Amino acid sequence: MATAITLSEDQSWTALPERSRLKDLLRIARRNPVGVFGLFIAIGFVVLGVFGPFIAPYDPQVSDVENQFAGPSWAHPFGTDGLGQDILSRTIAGARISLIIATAAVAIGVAGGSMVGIISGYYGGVVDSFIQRTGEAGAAFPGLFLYLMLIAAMGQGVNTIITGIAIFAFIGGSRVLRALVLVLKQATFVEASRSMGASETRIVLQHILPNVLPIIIVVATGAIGGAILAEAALSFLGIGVEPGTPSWGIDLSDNYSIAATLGKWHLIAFSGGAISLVVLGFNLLGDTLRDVLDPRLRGTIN
Amino acid sequence: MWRFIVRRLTFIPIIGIIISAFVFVMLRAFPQITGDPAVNICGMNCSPERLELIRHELGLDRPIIVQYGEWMGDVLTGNMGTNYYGGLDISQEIVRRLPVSIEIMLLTLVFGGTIGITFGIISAVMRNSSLDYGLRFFAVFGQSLPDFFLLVLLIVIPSILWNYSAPIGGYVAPWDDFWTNFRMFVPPTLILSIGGAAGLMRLTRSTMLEVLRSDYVRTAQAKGLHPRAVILRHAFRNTLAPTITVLTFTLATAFGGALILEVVMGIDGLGAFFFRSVIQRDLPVVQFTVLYTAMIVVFINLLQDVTYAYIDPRVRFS
Amino acid sequence: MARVYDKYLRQRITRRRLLQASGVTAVGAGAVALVGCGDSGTSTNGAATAVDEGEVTKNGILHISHGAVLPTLDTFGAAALIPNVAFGGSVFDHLFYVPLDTQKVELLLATNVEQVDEQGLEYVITIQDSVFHDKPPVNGRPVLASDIKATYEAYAADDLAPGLGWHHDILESIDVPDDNTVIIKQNQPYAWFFHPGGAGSLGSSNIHPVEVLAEGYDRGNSLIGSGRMMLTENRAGEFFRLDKHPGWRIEGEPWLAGSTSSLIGESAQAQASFQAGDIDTVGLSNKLEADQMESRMGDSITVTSTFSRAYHALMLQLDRVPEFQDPRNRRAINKAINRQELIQGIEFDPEGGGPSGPIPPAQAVYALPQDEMDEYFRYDPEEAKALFEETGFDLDRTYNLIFYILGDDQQKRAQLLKEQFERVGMKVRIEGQDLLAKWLPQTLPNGDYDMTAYTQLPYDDPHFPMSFYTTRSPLGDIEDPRGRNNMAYFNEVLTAAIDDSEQELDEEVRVEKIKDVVRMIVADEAPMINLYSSVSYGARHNWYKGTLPASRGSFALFNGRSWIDTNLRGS
Repeated sequence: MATAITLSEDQSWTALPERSRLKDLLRIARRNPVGVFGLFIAIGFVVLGVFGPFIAPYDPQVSDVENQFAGPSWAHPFGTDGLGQDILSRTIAGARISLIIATAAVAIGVAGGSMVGIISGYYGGVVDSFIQRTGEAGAAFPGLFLYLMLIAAMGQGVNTIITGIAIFAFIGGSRVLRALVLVLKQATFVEASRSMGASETRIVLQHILPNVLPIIIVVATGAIGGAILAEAALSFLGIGVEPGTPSWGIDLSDNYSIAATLGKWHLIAFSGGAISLVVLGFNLLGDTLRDVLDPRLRGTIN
Repeated sequence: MWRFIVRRLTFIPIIGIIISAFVFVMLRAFPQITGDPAVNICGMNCSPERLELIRHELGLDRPIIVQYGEWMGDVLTGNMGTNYYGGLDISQEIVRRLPVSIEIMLLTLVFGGTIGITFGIISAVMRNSSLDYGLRFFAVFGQSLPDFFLLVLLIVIPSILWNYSAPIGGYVAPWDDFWTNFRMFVPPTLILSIGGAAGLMRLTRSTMLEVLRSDYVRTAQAKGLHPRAVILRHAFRNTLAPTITVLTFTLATAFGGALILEVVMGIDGLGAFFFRSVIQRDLPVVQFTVLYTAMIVVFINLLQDVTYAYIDPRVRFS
Repeated sequence: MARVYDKYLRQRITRRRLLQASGVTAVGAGAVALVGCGDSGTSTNGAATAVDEGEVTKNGILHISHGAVLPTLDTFGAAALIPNVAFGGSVFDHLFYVPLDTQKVELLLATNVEQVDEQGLEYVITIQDSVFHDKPPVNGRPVLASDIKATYEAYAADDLAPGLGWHHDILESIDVPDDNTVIIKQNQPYAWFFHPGGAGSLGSSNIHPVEVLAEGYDRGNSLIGSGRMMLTENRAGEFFRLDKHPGWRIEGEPWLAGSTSSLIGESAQAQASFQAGDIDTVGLSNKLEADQMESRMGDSITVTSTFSRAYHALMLQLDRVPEFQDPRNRRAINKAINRQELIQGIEFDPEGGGPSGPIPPAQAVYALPQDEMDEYFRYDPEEAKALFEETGFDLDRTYNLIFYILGDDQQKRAQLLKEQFERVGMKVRIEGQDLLAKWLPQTLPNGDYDMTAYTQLPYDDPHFPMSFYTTRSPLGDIEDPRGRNNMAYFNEVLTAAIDDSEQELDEEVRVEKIKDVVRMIVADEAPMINLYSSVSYGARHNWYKGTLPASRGSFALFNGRSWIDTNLRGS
C-alpha cells in the first residue's frame, strides 16, 4: 500500500503559503466533523493526562474501606471500588499512565523509525537491505508474542511496555517512510535540485524531510491509538503496569469479576468506556489526517 | 516467477538467524535480569549445592554460546526437548493444543475475511447510502473497541439475558460434537474477527471505489456490461492484492487475538500455554514458541509476496 | 431491574480465579516453596458430616472440577506438586498421615510403627496386605516393602520437585528385611516425622510400584497406585475419570463407584455448572459469592468455610532499618496495623478472614488461643505514635514496602498497609516487583527491602512458620556469619527453643513447647509480623453425603465413606 503514496511539490501540505494554510485548515475542519470530534477526544485525553491530578476530586490511590463498592452519588459521581477508591478520580488518573506510555513509546519508536526509514530509502544499498531484513524479522513477531517475550526477558513493568510498543512503532515508521522516500527520491523537484548540484544532505533536509513530516504525524497519531490499546490489553491480562496503578486496563480486570458478582455496572463501565472512547478518538483523528495529508486518498472518503 | 520465489526464499535463513539470535540473547544472555530459572525451581531452603545440581540438570552451567549452538541444532531438527516445569515433551504439548488454536485462527480469519470483503464491496457499491454509512460506522467502531472488553461483555451479557454460558470440559473437536464445538468457538471468534473485518472492510471499500472510477471499469460500463459482471469480473480482481496484504496482517494479529481469547475464555490452546509459560518463565517453551511463530509469519509473508507476483506481474520486476 | 440483577447474579464471571490458576502454576514449581497459592487446588470442599441420613446408596459417581490444566501426571520433577496433591488422597496409598484438623497420627497402609530408639532416629514399620491397580506393567500385584523403599528413594533423588526437604536432608536410609517390614532411619531427631513435612506427606509419600519408578517409564501420562480409586481416563489434563479400585484393602469401600473432574477455568462457569447440578461441589472466591450462592440455592446446598492455611505476612529488615532492632519500634509497627481493615478491604467481608499470629489459625492445635492473642492483634495507632516518639523513630525518612506482582491482592494489601503506616506518621513508598525475576531470587534472600508484604504458603505443620524466626531461617543469605535470617533477626534463645520443640517427640509436650515459642515471638515483637489468613469458601449439594473432606489437609480425603444420594440427585 505504502508504495502507492505519491506526492509532488505542489501537493505538499507544508509548501502552501501561511494564510491559505489556515483557511485550508478551517475548510478541512468543516468538511471533517468526525475528525474534529476525534481531535477533541485526543485533546481531552492529553489535558486529563497532564492536569488529571489537579482535576480529580480525590487521590486515586487512597482507600476508604468504609465506602466500599458505593454506587454513583454526588460525592462519588462514578461510585467507588473495592478499596473505596473514587472511580471518577481513577478514570481521570488512568489517562496519565496511558499518555506517558503512548507518547514515550511512539516518540522514541516513530522518530527512530522515521530516521532509519529515510536513510534506508534514500541511500539504498547494503544498509537498506540489512535494515529491510531486520524490519521483516521484527514484523514477523505477532504483537502480543513480542510483548510476552519481553516480559519473560525483562520482567513486567512500564519500561517493558514502552520498549515493546516502541519496537513496533519503529518498524512501522521505518517501513512507511522508506517507501515514501523511494518515491520522493525520483520526484521531479528532487531531480531538479540534484541537477542543480545540491548536496545529498541538503536534499534530504530541504526537500525530503518537509514532505514526509505530515506522514510522520499520520503514522504517529495512528500508533498512539494502538499504543493505548496495547497498554490497556497488557494491564488487563495482568502483565502490564504495576497493579494498583490507576490504569483503565487494570481497573477493568480488577473489577469485572466482583462487578458481576454484585451486579454493579459502575465498576467496569467507565474504565472500559474510557479505553474505547480514546482509541476511537485517535483512530478518527488518524484517519482524517491521513485523508487530508495523503492526496491520493483525498476525495475518496468525502 | 521462479527466480522471484527463489530470491525471496534466500531471505528466510537470514531473517531466521536474526530472529533466533534476538530471541536467545533476550531470554538467555542476562539471567540477572531475566531471573535464574534454577533459583525459581529451587525456591527457598535452597542450598548452593542443590542449586548447582539443578543448573546442571537444566544445562544452564554451560557457556552461553554452546547453549545457543545446541538450541539452534534443536530448532533445525525440531527436537524441542522438555520444559522446565514438568519435564514435558514440548512438541507433544504443542501438537495437542494445535487444533484448538488453529480452529480459533481459522474461524477468525474466515469470519473476518468474509465479513470484511462482503461489507466492503456492498459499502462501495452502495456508496453514500444509509447502509454505507451504517457499515462505515461499524468499521470505525470495530477498529476501536478493545477485543478483551468485547470478550468480557460476551461472557457477561448472554448470562444476564439468557442465563447462558459456554460449554465446559475442555476441547471437543467439531467432528466429535459439532454443536458443542460451535458454541465454544463461534461466538468468541466472531467477536475476535471484528477488528480485522473492520480494517479489511475499509480497505476493500476504498480500493473498490478507486477501481470503480478507473478507466477500464468505465469502459466496461460503457460497453453496457451488467453492473454485477463489472464488479465481480473486473473490479474485484483488482482489489485483491491490497486485500491479501490486510488478510495476512490479520493472520499475524490473530495469534495475539487467539491468545487473549484463550486466556479470557479459559480455553487451553497454544496461546494460553504460551502465556502460562511466560508467567512461570519456562524459557524453552517461550523460545521455541516465539521463534516458530515468527517463522510461520515469515512464511505467510512469503506466500503473500508470491500471490502478489501471481496477481500483479509488475511486482516480480520491482 | 431487580429481576435483571437476579438473573445477572445467577451467572457470574470471576477472573480472579483465572489469574490465581495461572499464578498457581507459575509458582507451582519452585516458588511454591515460598509463595502462597491458596488451598483451592482441586476443589473438594464440604464439611465433615456424620453418616446419619438414612440408608447409604452406594456406587454413585462424584463430579468435581479443576481450575487449570494439569500439565503432567508425573509425581516427580518440577511440576510434581499438582498431580501429587490432586491424586495423593485418592489414587495413592500412604503409610500414615497427620490430618490438619486433628494433628493426630492416622495409620493407613502401616499397621504398626515402632520407634526403636528414644530420639526417634529409627522406625520399624509393618504394612498390611494391599494390591496395586490392575494395569500393566504391574497388573494388580501385591504392594511390597520394596516398593516403599523405591518410592522414598525416588523422592530423595528428585532434585526438582518442591517440598522434599525431609527426603533430602533428614532421611538416612530405608531397609526392607522382608516384604512387610520397612525400617526408616533418620540422621537427626525430627518431631515432624509422621507429618506432611516428613515421611507422611500427601505429596511425597505416594506409594508407587517399582516398575513405574524405573528409567524410561512414561510417568507423565499414567498413574498406578494402590489407593482406593484408580485413574481410568485422562483427556489431556482437562478431564479425569477415577473408578473404584476393586482390590482396595478396606472391605466394602469406597462407597463411591468413581468420580470425574472436568476442567472449568472460569469460576463463573464452575458456579453455573454447580447450580445446574453438573458438579457436586464448587469453590467460591469470597464471602459475597458464598452468600449469593446460599440465597439462590437455599436448603439444597451447604456452604462451607474453612481457614486457608496460607497466611499474609509483613517482614521488617533490621539491617536496612536499624531502628527496627528496637522491639518497641516493631511493636509500634504492629500496633499501627489494622487487621480488620485489611480483611474488609481485600476479602470484602469481616468474616472473610481472621487475624494470624506466628502460627496461622488453620493450625489450630498449635496456635495460641484467641484471648491470649488479643493484645498482639489490638489496633492502637495512638500507642504506635507514642512508641515512635519515645524511641525517636526517624519519621522523615521514606521507607519502602515491597510486594511482588501476582494478581491484584498483593498490591491492595501493600497499599492499605502504607496508608495505615502513614496514619501514625511514617512515610512509605510501595513498590511492586516481578515475582520470578526480582523478588524471589534477589530481594528476599538478600534482605533487600525495608519492609516487604507477601503471602506465605499453605503449610501443614508449624515447622516452617516457626523456622522463619530462627537464625537458620531458610530464606536468608548463606554467607552471613550470624546465620541466614534475611530479616537479620538473630535471637539465639528463640532459636534454641524452636530447635528443642522440633526434637520433642511427645505430642502433648510439643504442643506446649510450640505455644511457648509463640509467646516468645509475641513478647519480642519479632519482625515477621503475620497479618491474617483468608477464609476459603465452598458449596456442595446436599446429595453429596458422608464423611467429606473439610479442606485439603483433612483426614476425610483418605476415607471412602462419602457417597452420592442418587435418590436426591438422580442417576
